[in-house]
Formats: sequence, structure tokens, C-alpha cells
Amino acid sequence: MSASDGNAAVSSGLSREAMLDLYRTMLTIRLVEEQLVRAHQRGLVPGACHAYIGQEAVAAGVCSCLRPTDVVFSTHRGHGHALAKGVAPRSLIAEVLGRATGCSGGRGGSMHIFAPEVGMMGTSGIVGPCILQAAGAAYAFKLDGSDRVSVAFFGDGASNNGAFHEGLNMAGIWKLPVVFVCENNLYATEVPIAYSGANPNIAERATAYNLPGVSVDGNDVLAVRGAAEEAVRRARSGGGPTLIECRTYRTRPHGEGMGDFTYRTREEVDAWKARCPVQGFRRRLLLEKIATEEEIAVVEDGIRRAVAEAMVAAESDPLPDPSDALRHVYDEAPPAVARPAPPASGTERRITFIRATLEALSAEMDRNPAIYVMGEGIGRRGGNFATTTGLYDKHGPVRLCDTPIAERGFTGMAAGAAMAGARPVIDFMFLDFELDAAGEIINQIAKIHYMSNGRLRMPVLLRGCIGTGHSAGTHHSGNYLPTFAHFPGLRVVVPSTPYDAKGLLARALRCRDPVLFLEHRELLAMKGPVPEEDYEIEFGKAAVVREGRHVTVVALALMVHHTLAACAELAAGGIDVEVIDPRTISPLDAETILASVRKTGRLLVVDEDFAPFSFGSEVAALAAGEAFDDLDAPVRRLHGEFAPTPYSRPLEEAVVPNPARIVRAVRELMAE
Amino acid sequence: MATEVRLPKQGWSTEEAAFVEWLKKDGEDVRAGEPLFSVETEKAVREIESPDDGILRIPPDGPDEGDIIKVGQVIGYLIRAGETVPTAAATAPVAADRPAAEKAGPVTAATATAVPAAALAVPATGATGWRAVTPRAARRAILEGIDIRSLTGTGRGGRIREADVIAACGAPPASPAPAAAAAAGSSAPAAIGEAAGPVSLPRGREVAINGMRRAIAEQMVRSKTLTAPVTLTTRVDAGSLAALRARYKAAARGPDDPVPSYSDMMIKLVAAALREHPALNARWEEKRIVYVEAIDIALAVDTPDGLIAPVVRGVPGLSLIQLAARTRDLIRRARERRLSTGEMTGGTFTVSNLGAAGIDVFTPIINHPECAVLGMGRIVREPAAVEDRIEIRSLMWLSLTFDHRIVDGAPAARFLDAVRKLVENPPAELVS
Ligand SMILES: Cc1ncc(C[n+]2csc(CCOP(=O)(O)OP(=O)(O)O)c2C)c(N)n1
Repeated sequence: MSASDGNAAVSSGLSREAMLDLYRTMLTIRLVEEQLVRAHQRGLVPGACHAYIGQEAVAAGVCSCLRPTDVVFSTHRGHGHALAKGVAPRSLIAEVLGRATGCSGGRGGSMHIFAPEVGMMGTSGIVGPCILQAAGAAYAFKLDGSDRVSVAFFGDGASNNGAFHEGLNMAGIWKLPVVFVCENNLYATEVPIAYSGANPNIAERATAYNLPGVSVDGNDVLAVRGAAEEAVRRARSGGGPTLIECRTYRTRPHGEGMGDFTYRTREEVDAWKARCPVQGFRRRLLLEKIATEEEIAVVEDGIRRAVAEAMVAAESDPLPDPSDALRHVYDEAPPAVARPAPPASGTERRITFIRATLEALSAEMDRNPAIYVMGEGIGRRGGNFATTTGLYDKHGPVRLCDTPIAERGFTGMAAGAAMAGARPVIDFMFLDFELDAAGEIINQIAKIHYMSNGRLRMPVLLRGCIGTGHSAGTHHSGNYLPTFAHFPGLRVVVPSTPYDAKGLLARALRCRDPVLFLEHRELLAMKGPVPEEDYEIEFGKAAVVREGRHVTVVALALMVHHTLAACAELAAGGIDVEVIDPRTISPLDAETILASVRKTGRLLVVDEDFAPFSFGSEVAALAAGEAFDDLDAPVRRLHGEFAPTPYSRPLEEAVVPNPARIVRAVRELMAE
Repeated sequence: MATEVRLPKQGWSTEEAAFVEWLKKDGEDVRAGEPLFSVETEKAVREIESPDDGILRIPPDGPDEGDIIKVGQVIGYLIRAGETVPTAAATAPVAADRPAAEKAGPVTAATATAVPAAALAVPATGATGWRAVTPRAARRAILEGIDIRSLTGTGRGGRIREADVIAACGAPPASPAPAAAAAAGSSAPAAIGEAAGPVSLPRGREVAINGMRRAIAEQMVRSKTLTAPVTLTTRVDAGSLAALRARYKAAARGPDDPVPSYSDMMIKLVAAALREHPALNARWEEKRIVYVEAIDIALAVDTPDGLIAPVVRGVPGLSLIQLAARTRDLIRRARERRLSTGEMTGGTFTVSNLGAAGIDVFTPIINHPECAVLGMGRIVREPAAVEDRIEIRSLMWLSLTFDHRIVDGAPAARFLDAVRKLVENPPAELVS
């Protein structure tokens, strides 16, 4: 478990062709990067460009040990990883130049290079998540029983990030087939690891998570390859993860166009340039008589020409069609609803909301082996809210995986697992806990389908309780709906009945977009009619819960029931309310809401959540914009009060809408 | 300095009134306190006194009959002899070309050029000159061909809502959403004859909806939309009432002696029944039901201009003769439209008699916010089973409509039955 010195050359075991391939890879990376640096200077790169020059041995050495079906997850400095994993130079250059022919169709640029067909699972603009995603892909491989291996490349800076610690811990627990490759180039932007790491010896950190940590000369491609070979073998054979620290250096500034010598000296840079991994290996090829100067020159000429041609071609490649900008936010061809919902009216059987979701989950898990569930206490215990009762006994610990308290970690892993073909279900218990994973959801899970130009899918189900009640206090009472519904790429489902919960959860488990399935805590034990058979309810189809003539009330989850309670009293006063439950807020069924507002001329949105920038605001804006001429009164909203949710009952009751407040709000609206 | 003639505030709830006529002519000398013009509010026509001495000047754009004028709105001027005429004939042709707001201002020759038009606009329109209209109401008004300026808004701050337009045109609510109609129209050309809008409706004599008609319409719509009406009917033997009426008629010494009508008797008997059944002597308010101590009963009166329901106050304290005198006065003044608003509001119960019109049974409409209304049918002599015999009896139908929000069916039925018993055996102390 101790960090070992892996500097010993292992060239002896490699064929001549393999040695030349390492050289080819490194040289290709170097020449492509030089082209891009020049392109940046010529103003051809519209965005950021973090050059990999100086670190080529790491990508080349590690990827030389991988099969095409193995996967790598990369960083903002990822051109080298992409090329080493098999992305064609033209495809990479075109992407950095923002061309339609780029590997992400111009959607991503340097920091969103995706080529899943060769196992390149993305560079990233956020430092850290790639570590979790690599662990997640490894989890998918464990689940599907394949012997594929996953690799995370990341910098020294990332090793100080929570993602590193959560990811290594979980990979350690579950012995995942993943290799963590830290490219310690001594600086994170301009901050030295000697300053930012309390223990700057990164390889040693592996000890904390009970996995081997090795430190190698990252400028020696054979040293890197030696360590990687061992790590990949271990991973592939079920021995679990390894952390490899490659000590290396970038000889370009952090990013092209950025200043350099404020945090390091020219002398230091020059000293590292003298240790150039490409030139060093070239000398070795000659020294060990693996190739002659002439033979190397032939190789070099071929690569030089190919890269130059790639540059010329990419430069003349077309820019993307602007009309294409909105494609791939969501699955363009969602699977049709296979089993339409039977009418609830013909159903005698009444079960709870949670039981209804369990039926849907259980049926889909039987049907689809790619589904696994992660969360705290969802294994043997069957979930804090009985969301997985009985499933552990049926499917075992890999598909019903209890986690450490590392919400960010296992959510980040879900992204990687989904990219590798699994269908993760993340059970947060309370949505409040999901906030710890917000970056993984919003920056990764929501965006990857789009950034990958529609090639990667993100069928992730994220579920958790929302809602106020039960004196749960402010850390177990949040709604957070607008936070998630705000972002393109996510589906947000907020059922109000057991019937809807079953059909919508079944739909969520077939939908190939990420879904937030938000369950109101006050409804979990509510019973209602639920058909025995499997069925799906389409997203974006609101339910007209009650028909009425005078005023439209749009409400979600518990507020639907509060509104119905208010309707009885209002009806006694001659006010006939139409109640609309959108059921999903992303997508939102604007049509049904507008049709109702057009009928009644009045709209009240009842939203348990806070007023500013809310679901209520959204629906109000919709009506004001699209039903302006039909309005016979101003649009009104009834919201939870703008305060953290208090604990004590009278305080708690004071901050959320209830039937009496809804009655008052409707009456006031009728008097407008 | 000219005195502005404005519409003064009419009671606490009136914000506007329909102009009826000038009672003085343009150029006529007027003394302070003399009736100057008349307006119509709710159900009364009212004469407005002159605020000052002076010569009346009616501006060319002054109100016409039926125009709605706002409280505080300037509609004319009183000037002194020799004073510059604010809206003299000399300025009228010019004024005709100006925006309405501007020409209504008091323009004298001396200040005409010096005062900016915007400043002159203020007194005419003021802050209350515009009224809020919902987009839906505006659309409806256009579709129905209604001038929105003629409407009274029932929304917050007088905002005109669709219901106000519907009340004004008496049309059934909510035609299909125009957006949907437009969409249908764009996808397929409408069949010939189907596209009928208000333009192609058959036309005939047109009568502007006056304040009275509007007030009735609004009251009816309010009742229709806000109450939960249920009608119960029963048949009573009205022989005693007929006998009573004959007795009073015979006793009358001349045409000035009031002879109690069937309605008067019924009011008296209903008052006694309400005493026993206070659940119906109630009024609906938004947050509560008020069970009223006093027994004040309204009587539906048909007038040439429409339905008016003056209230007879303190019915139990009046003898039948006194009550007859009171209703006679109220009916006369209702027909002359000289009732005050106070005399037409505040009851809990209304009696409506269509017997004279030959009606047996009907479903009277509640005079919101009252609790109930009793409809009286005609008295018909008919064979009736009395024990095992057939006798000729004077029978009458009673129709009770009550607001189910306020009272339930069973207590309402018991009340009606109590009325029946009182009619069939009227206690002497009530009818003597
Ligand atoms: C979460 C996050 N924080 C900050 C940044 C800004 N940032 C981009 S690269 C970088 C330094 C990363 O250092 P390191 O991981 O050592 O990689 P290197 O640049 O040295 O390759 C920083 C701070 C980011 N992209 N993501």
C-alpha cells in the first residue's frame, strides 16, 4: 500500500512496434497541441485552450494499456487523453475550432471533448467530477460483469477536491475496476501543490482509502506504462482500484493567452523543457537501437504531415448550423409509452404512494438488469421511506447498494455509470441532501447528453422527499423545484397521487433523460386507487383534477389536495374552481394550463415553495404572456412564506399554504 | 370666477350615475339650491341642486341622457353676468377639433393661449376619469358590441370584468375561447352562415341600457351566480284570506282608505312565520351569516321601468291596516322612482305576487343577499277533497325559493308549512 518508486524502465517487455506506437502517440499529441497553440495565437480558437505540452508521456503511457472498450474520463487539459484514446486529430482540432465536424459538433470546445465510440468519455470544465464518473463507469462494469476498465485523469489540484476523496473511498469499498491517474504538474493554475496539499505526497493519499498508491516519473512514458499496466491488470482481474501519481510538468502557461512567470521562473520551465518526454523517449529509441534516425524521421514526417493536414482540413470545415443549437437537450426520440395508463376509476385496490412507486421500481428492476439503486439505507434496510423494501433480497448488494454519506460522490458516479450503460437510481431520502450533489446534477448529469452532441445518454433517476410538514425542520423540508426545473436537460416530476406516482416512476425508468422524481413527504403514506398492472404516464401531461368554471388553480403535490379541500368550501359560496395538477414541471404542460385559464379567465397558482423565481412565477408568466386577452383578473400566486422552514408546529403552519389560505386567495381573486 | 358643476357623492357606495337631463336651460339664471339636473343611480332618479347662483353654461360636450358621469366630474359651469363664458360659442368650433379631455376644460379667452393643454385636461378627467378593464372584458364588449364606457365595474376599485359585460348584454356566459375559434377558423374556412358575428344578427329597435335596467340585471346575475337556490312549492287554502279581503273592502269608507292586498296579508303572515323560524330571517355576508333581529320584508313591485323591491321595515310592529298604508306609499313612490337607496335595501325576505298575472307556480329569484323569497300564485276556486266530501275551495300555490347556503331544505320546508298553516287559519291578532 506504500507509494513505490516506479521509475525503473520496463522497455524490455515491449515490442518494437509498441515502442514506436508510444512515440507516435506522444508526437501526435505534441504536434496537435503546437498546432492548436498557433491556432489560438491566430485567433482561430474562440474559447479556452489548455495545452498538454510536457505531459504527453502520461496519456500515451496509460492509454497504451487500454482496450478500445475501456473508458477514460478527462479534465480541462484533455487533448492528450483524447488523442491517446483514439480520437482523430482532425475531429479534435475541429472541435476546438468550433466546427460542425468537431467530435462534439461544436457544442463543447476544448473542455467538452466526447468520443464514446473510442472510449473517450469527456474532458471537463469542472475540476473533480471525472474522478467520480470514472468510478461510476467502473461500477457499471461491475454491474454488467464485463472486464472493462475505467480510467480517471486529473491534476494535482483535483486531488484536493472532495470528488477525489469520495471517489477513492467508494472505489476502495467496492473494489471497482478503475485506475486513478493524477498528473502532478506541481501547479493548479498558479497555486503550487506544495502549498495547497497539507500532505503534498499525493500517492500516499491512497493509503487512506486502502488502495495501492504509486508515484512515477510522469515524463518517462515507460515508467508510466509500467505502473498503468499493473494497475489495469489489477482492475481487470477484480483486484480493485489503484492511484498512480505521475510527476510531470506543463511547459505552457495554464491556458493559452495567460501569463506565466508570476508563480514560477523561466529557469524552472527551461529545466523541465530539457526533460521533454517526447525528446527523451526519442533518444531512448535511438540509444536502445529500436529505430534508426531515418526510420524515426519517416515516422515523424508521416505524423507531421497528417497533423498539418488535419489542421488545414479542420480550418476549412464548416461552422455549425445555428438552427442546430437546440438539438440534443433531451432525447430526440424518446421511447413510446409502451403501457398506457388504465383508468383509475376502475380500480378497487388502494395502496400507498410509496408502495405504488415500489411496484414500478420493482417491475422495472425485474425487466432491466442495467438498473441499480444507490442510497443510504436502501439495501437490507429497504430505504428510510420503504422505497426499496424487499428488493435487496431479490437483487443483492450490487443492484441495491448502500452508500457512505457521500451524496456528491455517488451522484457523480451515477453520471459515469449512465455513460457506461447503466441506469442508476439515486435515492436521496430528502431532496435537501441532494443539494450536496447539485454540481454533479446540474453541471454533469443535465448537460452531458447535449455536450456529447446527443451521443451519450443520461438515464439517471434522482429521487427524494420534498415538502413541509411533520416538524421536520429546515434541513428536511425543502422543495427546491425551481432550482432543477430551471436547467435544460433535466426532467422534474412532482406527483400528487399514488396512481400518478406509479405511472410516472415507470415512465422515468424508461425515459433516457435524467429525471428528478420528487415525492412530497406528507403524501408518502397517502392511499389511493392503483391498478395492479404496469403502466406509464407520459411526462408533460397535466391532470385536470377538478373541472370548474370560475377560476383555475394550478397546484402540485400536497397543494393539489389542499386545493381540493378548499374547493368544497368555495363551491358552497358559489365559486366553481378548476384544479390543474401539471404532474411534471419539466416538461410543463402549458397547453392544459392555458386552456383552463382561457376558460375561466382567472388563475391562482398555489405553490408551497418560496415565491421569488418560482414555479408560481413561471406559470404566472405563462398565463400573462399566452392568455393575456383571456384574463379577467390579475394572475395571483399563493406561496410558502419567504423564510427557512421552522420546526415548531405553529411556526411551521404559519409558513405554508393551507386550505383556509387557498379559500381566501380564491375569494380575493374572485373579487378582483 | 366660474363655479364648476359637478356630480356630488350620492351615498357611500355610489361612484357614478347616469345623467338624465338638465332641469335648467343653457344661459338660464339659477339660484343656489334650485334643482339643476337629474341623474339616475341604482333604482332612483335624483335631482341635484345647484351649488351656486349664476348663469348656467352647458358645454357642447356636456353629458347626454344615459351618459355615465363620475362623482366629481365637471359637467357644466355657473358664471356671473358679464363674465367670460368658459365654453362660449366662440370657442366651440375650435373645441370640436380638440381631444375630448381638452375641450371639456374651462377655457376663457384670456387664458386660452397661456395655459398648457395638459393642465386644462385635469379637471375634466381627473384621477377617476379612466376605469380599469380586464382584457377578457374588453374583448367580450367588442364581440357583443357594447360601449365599455357605459359599464359599471364590479371588480376591485370598479374594474370592469367579463361578468359586467355579460350582465349588460344579458348574454349567456363564456362563448368558446376566441383563440380556439380563431385557430379553427385559420385551419378551415368557416361554412357560409356560420361566421355570424354580432354584425349579422337581426337588428331592431335599440334601447340604451339605463341605470335601472343595469341595476336589475346585475342584481339578477349576482343572485344567479352567488346563491344556491332551491324552490319548494305547496298549495294552500286561501279562503280565509279571500274572506278577509272582502271584509276590509266592505269596511273601507272611501278610496283613500287602504284595503290590505293579498300581498300585505302575506307579508304580515310571513313575518309571524319568520319569528318562529329565525333561520330564514338571515342575510349572507362573505364571512358570516347574519341572523337579523328586525323583520323587514321586501315586496316585489312591477313598475313601468322595471322591477323594484322596496322594504317594509318592522313588519311585526305594524297593524295590517298600517302595513297596507305603508306599502301603498312605497309602491306609489317606486313607480315614481322616488325611493331612496335605503328604502330598497336591507331586507331579509321578499314577497312576490304574480297572482294578478294569472300565474300559479314559479321559481322566484332570491333578492341577494337575502335568504329567501316567497312567490304567491293566483287564487283559484277549485273542487277539493275535504274529509270525504268534495268542496269548492279558494286554492293558491306558494313557491318558496331559499338560499341553500344559508339554510337547509328541511327547515325551509317547515317554514313554508308554517306559512301554509297561518294562511289557512290566520290568527286574529295578525289580521284584525
Ligand atoms: C470546481 C472548479 N473550480 C475551479 C476551476 C477553475 N480551474 C480550472 S483549471 C484549475 C486548476 C486545476 O489544477 P489541476 O487539477 O492541478 O490541473 P492542471 O491545470 O494542473 O492540469 C482551476 C482552479 C474549475 N474549472 N473547476
